[in-house]
Amino acid sequence: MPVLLENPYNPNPITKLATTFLLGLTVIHEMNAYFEWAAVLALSFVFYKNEFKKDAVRNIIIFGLLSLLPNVNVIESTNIFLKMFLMLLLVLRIFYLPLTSGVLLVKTSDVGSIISSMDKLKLPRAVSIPIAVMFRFFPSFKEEGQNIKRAMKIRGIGFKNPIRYIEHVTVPLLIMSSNISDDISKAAETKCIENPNKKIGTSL
Amino acid sequence: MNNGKSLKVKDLVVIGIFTVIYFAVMFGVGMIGMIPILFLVYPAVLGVVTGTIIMLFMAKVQKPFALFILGILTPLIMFAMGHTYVLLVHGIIVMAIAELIRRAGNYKSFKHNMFSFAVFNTWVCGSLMQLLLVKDRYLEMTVPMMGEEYAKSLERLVTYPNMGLVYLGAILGGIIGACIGRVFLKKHFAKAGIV
Amino acid sequence: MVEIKNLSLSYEKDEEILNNISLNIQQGECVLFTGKSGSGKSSIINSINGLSTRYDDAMADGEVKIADKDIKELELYEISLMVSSVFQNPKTHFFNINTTLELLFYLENIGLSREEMDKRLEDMLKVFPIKHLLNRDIFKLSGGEKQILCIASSYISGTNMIVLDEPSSNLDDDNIRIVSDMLAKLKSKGITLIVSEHRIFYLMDIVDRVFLIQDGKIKKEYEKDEFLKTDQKALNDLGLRDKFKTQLKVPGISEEGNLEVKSIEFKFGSTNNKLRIKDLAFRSGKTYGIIGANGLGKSTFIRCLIGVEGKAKDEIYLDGKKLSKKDRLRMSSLVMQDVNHQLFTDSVTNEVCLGIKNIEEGKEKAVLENLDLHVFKDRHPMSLSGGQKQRVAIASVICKDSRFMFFDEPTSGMDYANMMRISKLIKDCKGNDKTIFIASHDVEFLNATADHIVDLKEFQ
Repeated sequence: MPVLLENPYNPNPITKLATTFLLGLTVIHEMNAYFEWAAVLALSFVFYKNEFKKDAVRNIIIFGLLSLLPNVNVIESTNIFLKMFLMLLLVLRIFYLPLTSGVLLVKTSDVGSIISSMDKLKLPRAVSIPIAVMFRFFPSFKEEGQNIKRAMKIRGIGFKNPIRYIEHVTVPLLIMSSNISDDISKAAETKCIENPNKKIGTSL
Repeated sequence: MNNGKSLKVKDLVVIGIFTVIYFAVMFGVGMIGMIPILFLVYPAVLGVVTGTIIMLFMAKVQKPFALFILGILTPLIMFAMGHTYVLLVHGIIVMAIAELIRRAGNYKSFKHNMFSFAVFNTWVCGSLMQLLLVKDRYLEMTVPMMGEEYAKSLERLVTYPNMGLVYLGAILGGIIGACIGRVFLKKHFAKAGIV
Repeated sequence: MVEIKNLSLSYEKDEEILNNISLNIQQGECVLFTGKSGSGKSSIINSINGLSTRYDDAMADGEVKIADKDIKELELYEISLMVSSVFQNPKTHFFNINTTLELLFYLENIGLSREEMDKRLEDMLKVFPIKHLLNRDIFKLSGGEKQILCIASSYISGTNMIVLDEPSSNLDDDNIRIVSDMLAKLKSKGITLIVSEHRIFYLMDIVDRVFLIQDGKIKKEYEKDEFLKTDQKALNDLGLRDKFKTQLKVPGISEEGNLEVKSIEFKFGSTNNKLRIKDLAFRSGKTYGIIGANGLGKSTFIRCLIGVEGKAKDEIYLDGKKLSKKDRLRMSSLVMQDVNHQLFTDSVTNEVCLGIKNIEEGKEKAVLENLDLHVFKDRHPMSLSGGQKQRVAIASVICKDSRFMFFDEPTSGMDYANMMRISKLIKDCKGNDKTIFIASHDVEFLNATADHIVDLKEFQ
């Protein structure tokens, strides 16, 4: 993940979340096209300033194409798959703005800034600790999953019997995850995470 | 294992971990939601597949609010990723009901946990509810593309009564999933000593 | 500093782990608990930092006092204000993703100000020059670097006691040396060190007293000089590894063989590092040890040989015939470093038969008996102890009867007796048409097991 802490064009996660929320309102209350284009360009600007140049360009092109969508006429077409595909694109068109803003939030926020934002928002620990753990666990989860898949490949366990297959992935994965869960909480507790004395925000 | 009834750091870590697993599986199953029509059965399928995960979670953390927090984290992430507030509000209501059912069974009873999960599983219908809210706008866009007729048949398909069927599917899927979960719990996790 | 009085520890099924342990540890001392796996040495560590009763559902009797406070009365965080813990497996024991945040995590939790944290960090860097580890993704550190980070963070926390549970078990020689130096520095700062370990050579300069633990009791207490004088053979019999560093005595690889690896190329994830292997040959009927520091790619090399790394480019021949990845996958079996990844079914019998078509009548029974596993044949594999699980994995490998057998770090964290047992099992697997590969940094084990050594350092 790129280090973005110093970038003045990278708003903090709270701002980005608020933007996503506001753009989410446009789904239900339609906005005019100028406003939408302004939002798209603004998002692209932030992408560009955070070294996601491809995303910046892609964002404008995709939104341009989606805007043209209602002009496509397929009344005569009998191809059901084409129709289905277009239906899906229409859904995407309606939700495009908040979704892109969400992608921006995910791509340009590092874990540290998200966690310190949670501290600033004074989220209760019952929510902030699980969220911090999610970031911590996700890479482990990917690693474990990969290892299990490899082991299955070597053991010659194939996809022939899908139910068995799912059982064979689920069992070790859930058991490993439970073990890791213990390890993470041991690491956290031996570092005094339950200390009730007031924390002073480090906002690193 | 369950000393005291308030959530400890250990439980909160378990919540975080199971949210990741749930989310990952949900995303995997979500691929079928890409095909229109099929997303109407998606909630049911999701329930069948994730039953084991959530039942194991409920067996591990038999405390108030554990399921509630796990349940609102996923819509919260979806919300951050650009879904509307409808999903989040809908999720909070659903999880509150699921939590209450669980409480009635003192967090232990299988029957209560099963129904609790069945209700829990309906949160994902919220993403379809979002669609209902934008239905008019959607149809308006469809007409020039696919014609009046198509739009009309679509209008007939996506209605509140039909949404009811989706919810029913979600609940049934949840019950089936919970039962599969119970089999797994007995066959594997209890024997392996992790619950 | 630490006072343990008549401590007994047991799990639900009246399994007694510790039996009437009493001892005192002075401030600034370095104390070693040693003994076989399962002797209870780690349980003593976990009784001091409070994890045993709070995590492993153990019942404790007796008294553990730290600085005159009975830890039974304390919350885990209150104990952690006095004692820092370093765990056996650094792979998963951390809470943050960024190394610096992990170092400062404790300080943040005890409520230090930003300035004070900076001061502590600077002070720590003077003692341990690990600037290169700051501000990095913990997931990209090697096992050794993670353990160094753990020890550094226990110093930065400022507690005057650190407990370490088999800190060397996943480390290679170079990292063990670094850990040993770090511990010496900690001791010179007056910090009490309490270590549980059966690989003891790296502690011999630091330790003041040694407790030999057997079946949950203190079998013997040694002063340092006395311990150094005891006979090596006697220590091996007690389950301990060698007191002094062992030299690798296995010859290098020969030029010829019927399994020819012309080339393997594999690019590691996001970095620019590559694993590049050229012109190696292995012979049937031989056992090869693969060595190289933590992070050089021993496991990756094994996976490439097996053919399970889809992205690897390779050119490998057996008896002059080219083998595709698929061919090799069919001919290979692997015992993974963490065997939890490869146990899939609900009973030991099902486990060893899994994925094998038309297994011979009674074969799995014979194999299980041979490995002392027949008594567990109906148990869930995941309910067994670590060593038993590993034997189940080995049993499944033997049943598959593959041409190429691979073992990834099969002895990490093992005491002498278990290590020799695995060594014997692997030697029993040997056959004229089989080639065995072992990735390991365990020198004593390789000396006892391998015919030839491949050092990955030579391919850098």
